[in-house]
Amino acid sequence: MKPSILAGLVLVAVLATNPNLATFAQEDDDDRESLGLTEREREREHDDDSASGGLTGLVLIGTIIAILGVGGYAAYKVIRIRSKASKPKAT
Amino acid sequence: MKPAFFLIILLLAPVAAYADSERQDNPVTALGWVAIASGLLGTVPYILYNRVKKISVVELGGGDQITRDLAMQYKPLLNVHMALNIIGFTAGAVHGILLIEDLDTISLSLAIVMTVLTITGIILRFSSGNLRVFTKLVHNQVILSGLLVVLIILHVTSML
Repeated sequence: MKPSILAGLVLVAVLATNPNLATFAQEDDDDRESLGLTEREREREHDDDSASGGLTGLVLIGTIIAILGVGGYAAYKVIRIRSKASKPKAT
Repeated sequence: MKPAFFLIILLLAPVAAYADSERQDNPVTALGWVAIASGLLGTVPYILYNRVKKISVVELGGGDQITRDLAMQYKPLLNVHMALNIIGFTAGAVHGILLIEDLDTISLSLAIVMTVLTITGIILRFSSGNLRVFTKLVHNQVILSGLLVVLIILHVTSML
């Protein structure tokens, strides 16, 4: 039997017996509609009101600066190593 | 390879039904803890091993039996380090994708640092020449490792 057919059969068996499938939201489920997105969208509106952008924005900027700094430092080191290697040795 | 990948992706699909950030005991939140645990398990012993190996070379010399025995363990430990960190990265990435609705700047920073460290680690393993030197310098930077730890702590404390 080909591996792809075997994988397909296993997939069908797993999905058919997976108890998680029964927990997908129903239309009459107040708490969770279509995989919980609707509830989260409602929550997000509330979160957006109370979100503090100042300090957390600095974290992202700091992270990007750190990565660029490390990348720049590494590039500088590589260039230095290359230039040292290409210099003829003084005799 | 393709069927296995297909299977893994589809097996994760039902987990999306639990992607509710309000619940702390859901499987998607657990994936975050899996990422942290496998990252710790894969990195801390590897760093300790490298420290001990360096001390052994300095104190005992390269020809000592203990130093040579330690050197023999390098490849298996490197493989464990890579495997556990790739598992951790994958778990973290799935956790992040399924909870993308709750993305904040700390989580985004964490995702960026994790991705940079994982990509440089993979390139480091399979590259040579200048690219290897560059990725080694980036991957081994204490600043990035420290930043990763700080971001994980901030992420966990902000989500609790």
